[in-house]
Amino acid sequence: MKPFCIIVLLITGLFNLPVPAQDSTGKVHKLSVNGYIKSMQSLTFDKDFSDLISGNIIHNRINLKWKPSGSITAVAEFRNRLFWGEEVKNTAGFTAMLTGPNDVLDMSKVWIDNKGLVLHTNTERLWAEYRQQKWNIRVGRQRINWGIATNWNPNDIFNTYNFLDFDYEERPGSDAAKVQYSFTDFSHIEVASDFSGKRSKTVMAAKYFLNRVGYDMQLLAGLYHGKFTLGAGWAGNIGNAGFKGESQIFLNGKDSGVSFNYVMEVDYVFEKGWYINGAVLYSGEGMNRPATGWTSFDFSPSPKRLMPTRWNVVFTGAKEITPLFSIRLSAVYSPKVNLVILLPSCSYSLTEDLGMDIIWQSFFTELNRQFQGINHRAFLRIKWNF
Amino acid sequence: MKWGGLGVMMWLIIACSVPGAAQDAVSIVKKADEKMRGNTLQAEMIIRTIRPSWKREMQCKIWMKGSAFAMILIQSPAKDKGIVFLKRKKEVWNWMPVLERNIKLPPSMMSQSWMGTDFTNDDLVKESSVVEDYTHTLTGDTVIDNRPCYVIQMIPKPEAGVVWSKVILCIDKKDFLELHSRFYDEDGKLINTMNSYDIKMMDGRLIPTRFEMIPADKKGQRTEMIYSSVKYNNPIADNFFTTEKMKTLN
Repeated sequence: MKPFCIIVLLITGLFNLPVPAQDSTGKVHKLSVNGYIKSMQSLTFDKDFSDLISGNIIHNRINLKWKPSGSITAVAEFRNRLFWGEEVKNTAGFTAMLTGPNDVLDMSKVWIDNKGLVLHTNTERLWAEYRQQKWNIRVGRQRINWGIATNWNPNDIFNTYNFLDFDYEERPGSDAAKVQYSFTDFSHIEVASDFSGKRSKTVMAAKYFLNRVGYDMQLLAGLYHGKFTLGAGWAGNIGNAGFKGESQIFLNGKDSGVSFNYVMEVDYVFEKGWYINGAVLYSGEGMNRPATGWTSFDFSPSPKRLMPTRWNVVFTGAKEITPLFSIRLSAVYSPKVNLVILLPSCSYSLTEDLGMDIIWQSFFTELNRQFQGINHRAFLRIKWNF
Repeated sequence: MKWGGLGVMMWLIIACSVPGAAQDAVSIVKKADEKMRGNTLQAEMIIRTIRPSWKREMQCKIWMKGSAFAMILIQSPAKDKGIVFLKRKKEVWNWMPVLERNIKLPPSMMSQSWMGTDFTNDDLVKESSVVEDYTHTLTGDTVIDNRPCYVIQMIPKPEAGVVWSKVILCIDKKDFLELHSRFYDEDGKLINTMNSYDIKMMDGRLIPTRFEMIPADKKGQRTEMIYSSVKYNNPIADNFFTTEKMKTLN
């Protein structure tokens, strides 16, 4: 607990000092720091709400950004998490699950690891960027955000994220180098490669982006773990509704066939402020028939398998009841497998920088020809931003 | 149909019998609009959302060029710092620094509340043009804070896609300051009232620097917008208003 508190206090205290800087529009700090501290309690119930496992986490993020000149930026971001409770006790190899899935270099540290308590720090971002009017080069641990849709992102081939992991809003990064060249104000090419060094693990790709006739459009081509991959995405509108989509195909390699992912989504805001979003995802490598056991459902995603199930439909409705209080309900349904995930949540702003969320996750599916509840999870989260 | 035809005839008669009246109304609105916007506008502002039991404050920077281009950067509170909105003609993007991602917003978002305030997205980035998208009629005179004002009725053109059915503006006769506006919905019901205060010389122009948006039927609710600094007609290149620039404002 001690080193964690000292790091937080030192960094937040130290960088509150005014640092001189400027840009064309006024004052900008050369060195800036921000982040948050979250406290989250979770309760995991089994299908009958009888067996209960509790989990607790204090989660701190510290983001440092240094802009020594208009063309150079350096960023370091750290994620510190303190876990305790039955979830830590009951999960074998808990600390092994905490580092990023794409981290080539180990830049994490387990400070405490005993039976019921784990303190872990991971360097989430560590990159330097050189930016000119047309060129932009970024090297280091970074997020290569090639997704254009909002629910699932088949084009996000460098650093896929788990859509259920709501407490990880920044999402994982990738150890990589990326070069961007802008042809015009609204067309550019990005070329990126990760540092894995092994052909069978490397992701290397180029993305061409352009905006035409009210649509953002992108085309991708590259190598993913030794296989050729091609992708396309768009974001535009039909009438007043948003219309987005992405597709990605992985051509056959030595030991695998062609696989294909496709997502299409529509969103709309009604006059009274109701926001709705509907999406369909086809994830070629997902299951397409009822499972025999819950362990068949692997929710940790990869670019080739964004969901454990092949066909997925998600519908989200959200509304700001007052500027302080908002509600949201997402429902995911996977036909043929008969998987249902219900994700209701609500948020309340306690002060300008202090917020509270209550989040629920319920999983149901068909096992042994019987549709049944699997488990239910409840989370209470308080977050303070600085 | 009969009543509709009669209405059109009446309107034609009035328009013909008061030559130049419609044109005057347009030019008054145009002058007031140009005064507040300039060719380009850069401003820092404080936005306060006020409710009977609580208050929230945010600070932001705004860049505008004509009615086609606008960029807004949120500077506080900490949880929203670095969020950017870009409007280019009819397209709107939202840069989320936490996600390091740009999200293209659906056009239906424009008529919605902006960041929990009583201003809509459209109020802030002015997708609709008060000059181009409405038909203007000078309907009378009034006095606000000892300043004689024109009263102008604005009816949106059908193709403009404006959410209001009618807007009433009160514009100061001497300095062309928009001091009061009322916004009506499709049923002719008053929805919002906007008042302007604290007239000051900012960057060589006499303008109101505090604006208050008050929703009708909601007692004790309002949103205040205060200019802390304004710069007019500083050249801003069109390529400032790009999705690439959004990423570098912080």
